[in-house]
Formats: sequence, structure tokens, C-alpha cells
Amino acid sequence: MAPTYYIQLEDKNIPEGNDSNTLFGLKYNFKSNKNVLVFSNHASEIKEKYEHSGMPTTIYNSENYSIANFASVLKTLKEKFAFKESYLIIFDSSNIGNSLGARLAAMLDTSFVANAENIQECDNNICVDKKIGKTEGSYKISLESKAIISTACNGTLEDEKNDVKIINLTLNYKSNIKYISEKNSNNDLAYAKVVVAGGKGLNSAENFKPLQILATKLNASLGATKAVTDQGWVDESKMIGISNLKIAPQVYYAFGISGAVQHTIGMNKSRYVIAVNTDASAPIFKLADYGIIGDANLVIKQLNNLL
Amino acid sequence: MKIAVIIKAGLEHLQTYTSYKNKVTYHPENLFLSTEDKSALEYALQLIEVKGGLIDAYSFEQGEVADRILHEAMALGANTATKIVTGDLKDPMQQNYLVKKLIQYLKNEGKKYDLIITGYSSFSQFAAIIADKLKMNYYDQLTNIDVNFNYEMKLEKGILKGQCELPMVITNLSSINTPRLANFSAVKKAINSKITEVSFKKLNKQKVSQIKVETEKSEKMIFNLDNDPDATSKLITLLERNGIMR
Repeated sequence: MAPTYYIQLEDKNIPEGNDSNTLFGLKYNFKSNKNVLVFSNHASEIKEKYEHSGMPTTIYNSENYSIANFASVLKTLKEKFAFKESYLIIFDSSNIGNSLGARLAAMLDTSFVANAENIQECDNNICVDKKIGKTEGSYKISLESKAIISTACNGTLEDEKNDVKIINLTLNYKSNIKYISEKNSNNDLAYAKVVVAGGKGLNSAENFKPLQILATKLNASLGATKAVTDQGWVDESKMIGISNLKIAPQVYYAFGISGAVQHTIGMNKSRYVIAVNTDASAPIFKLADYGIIGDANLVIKQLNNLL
Repeated sequence: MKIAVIIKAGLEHLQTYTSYKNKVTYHPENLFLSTEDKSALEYALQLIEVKGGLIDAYSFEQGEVADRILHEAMALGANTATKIVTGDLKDPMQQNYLVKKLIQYLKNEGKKYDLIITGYSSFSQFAAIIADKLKMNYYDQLTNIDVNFNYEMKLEKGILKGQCELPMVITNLSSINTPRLANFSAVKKAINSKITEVSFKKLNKQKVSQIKVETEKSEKMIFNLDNDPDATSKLITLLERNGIMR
């Protein structure tokens, strides 16, 4: 099976181009030889994160690297892969990942599957699904020995350390492109792939501490309802709902949240919803894919013990 | 300016593909020109109003969908319409082959463009291949662009701002402008306009991806902690089995 290479971009001035959920989750999806290739301008600061990825990592580093410098990244990758017999290059399922993936596939004359889902082994090969627009149809694609995909998955960091090699990145091109951040760009909750949210059903500010521990274990961001932020139990910037953030994570855990429309309007585009509430008739269970009817604080405690 | 716009149908309708007894059926009757391609045409029209020129519309859609959206494009202002009747451009495994054939066709016909617009194609690589093979500049997923070629590309937490250089291939979102509506006489004229048909040699069947339709709804599972003290560990097992929790 083709070795896999996961591409990450780490620009200390621009908070995107990398996804720790997918970084820590990839090891579960691929049995073949796995590697991470990182393009960065602050290798020494990010080294520790990649030591716990579960995959050997090479960081291409240059002080002057910028995320807008697509050309230098593509040239480096083209030189690395042009003469390889087989590979599967993986980018993040994001605008920048899809843009780089399509460009690199064109340069390497291979196929690119953006936003690939349901990654499976089939006949000593890798098969993926790709949704056809917003229809109910998907393509079932058997990848060739040289292929590029973008995808997203979930995972948590490894305890054991793996090798991280830092090498110099040669910048061949200058970029005149400017990056302007959005107003929520510093709020990780707005872009999180996994969110753990608490409602008034947790009963006190103290009970948000175990929830924060659970969020860390799940590599998730902590969120809350308006009722909670109004009480001052959690910072206002963490409020999910009509009055603040509208988010669409892959996985949304709702603890002690009844599911009032003012809140659900901020999270109803989540891919999977897992709800825990004492009230079996709470509206959140209509949105939930999985859940537990029971005391949210007890379930958080059990989850922290079991994970 | 010579401008080409490669147009597609908007795949918004859930029931475009249905499945019964494992047979997938395609329903083209609800497919129309995508909103991103309407914006692409609008941008092309704005450019030729300022700089002069012609717009050629191309489509890889099949059958009645191709005719419908090409007529829509001509009603909006495209000067010529060409439909390519081979393959499925949406299939990632066919894109490389089909785009190379299109480039060969353009070269054979002596067609050179200053600008090629492909609407929304972050889901695919065909615009990138065109730019690479024709040695044109490439700007994708543009959320804004003006007639002086200043552009914005949306990322997750911000935007990239820069200036495009001709010749170029761009892909765009519908936010670049508000498309005009076709007037009645343009619609009437477009319906009777000629559509050129082009076919390529078919791709080997083994290299074509299969279409499947998920008919099974995902399981919904709510445990009750009062009746089942192991509910939490059962939930973890279920989430791990379905790849939701690792």
C-alpha cells in the first residue's frame, strides 16, 4: 500500500493551514507507512506538538515562510514526489488544503479527491467516498498508486514521542498577497472540529472544570449556552447561539443543554450531535445522533475516568 | 478579451440521484445553471463591457442538462455554446483525462483565451489542470474580484488579498457579484441558438468511479443511565466504532 504524507502549514502570523484533530486522527485510518510534512516559520515552537503525532515528521523551516507563499510549498512538494512510484498525499479538508491539493495534483499529473470521506481499504488499495454536491449520491473511488486527497478526521495526541526532523526550506518565490484575519480568528471555538458544550444543567461554574478536562482529552474546544455565559460561569466569547457564534463542527457534545432554538441555531449544522440531559423530552434529543438520558455531571465524570 | 466560461448545473437537489434495489437512477429535470456560474458569466460580461471581447461557454454536462444550462448562459450573454458529450467531469478520476482532451481540442481549434472562469470548483482539480497545462496563472475560490483584477480569496479565518495577472484561470463563489437576469427577447433568441457538440474517445470503464446512494439512515442511539449503568461505556464503544471518537 502506498505510503501516506500529511501536509501541514504552520505560519506563526496566520492561525490556519493546520488541523490537530486530523493530525492525531490519521493514524487510525491508514495502516501503511505514514509521514507528516510541515512548512513552517517557527519550527522550534511547534516541534513538541509533532513529536506526539504518532507519525515521523519533517519540518521544512524558513523564517520568511508565509502561508500565502503557495509556490514555494508546491515546488518543494513537486521535487519530493515527482519520481516516487507510489504515494498518497493528504491535505486538510479546507479551502487552503483543497487549493494546494488541486494545484499539486495538476503539477504531478495525478488525481485529486477533495473532501474525501469514509476512507477504507479495498483490494490492497485505498477507497474513498466523495459526495456529489448536495445530492444523496456519492462517488465510490478506488485511488490509484499515486493520489492526492483532502480529508478531515478526529483523534487525540500520543503519549509516546516520534522523530521530528527540521530542514531548511528554500523560498524560491516572493508572495505579494496580503492576509486579513476575520474578527473571530483568535477564537478557536469558531473553527473547532470537535466542541464540548455545557448548559445550565451542569448547575455551577465549578462543574465546568471537569468539562474542560474532557475537552482537553477529546482535543476539543469548550463552548456554552447563553444561560451559562450570562451567569458568568464561562467567558462570553464561548457562547454558542443566535447572539454570538454559529458553528458547524464535525462532532458536538451537548451536556446539560435542553436545546432551545436560540442555542440550536448556533450548532444545528454539526455533523454529529451527542447529547446528555436528564429530561428525555428535551429538544436537543431531536437533533442528537447519540445520547444518554441522565445526569450530565455524572456522565462527564464517567467519561473522564474511561477516556 | 477572449473569455471562456466552463459551466455546470447546480447540484443542490437531494433527489438528483435516487436508489432502488441497488440501482442508481439519475433525475436531471431539476438541474439548472449553478449560481456560481451565473456569477462567473456576470463577471465576464462586466469585463467585456469595459474591455470589449467575446465569451464562449462550455459545458461537460450531459443530455438535456447541457442544453438547458448552455441556453441559460446564452440568454445571459455568452456568444457561443459548446457541449462536450464525453464522460463525467464531476468524477475526480475522469477529470484529468477530460481536461487534457479539452485542452487538445482548444489547441486544435486555435482557441486562445485571456481568461477562463470555471465557477465553483474547490471540489475538483480541473481548473488547476487547465492553468497548469496552458501555462496560465491560477486563482481559486475567489470571493471577490473587480474589473481591475483585484481579488479576495476566503480562507477559514481570514481572506487573502492580491491582484491577478492575465492570462489566468479563476474559480469563483457566487459572492463576487449579483448576476443580471436575462430579458425575454434574449431567452427567446437563446432557445433557438446553435450549440456545438464535441465528443472525445471514451475513457476505459475501469477508470470510472461508481455512483452510490446511501439509502440507510444512520442509527440513532439514546441510552438511559437509570436503566443501564454501563450507558457511558456503551456510548464510548459506539462512538469509537463509528469513527466519531478516538
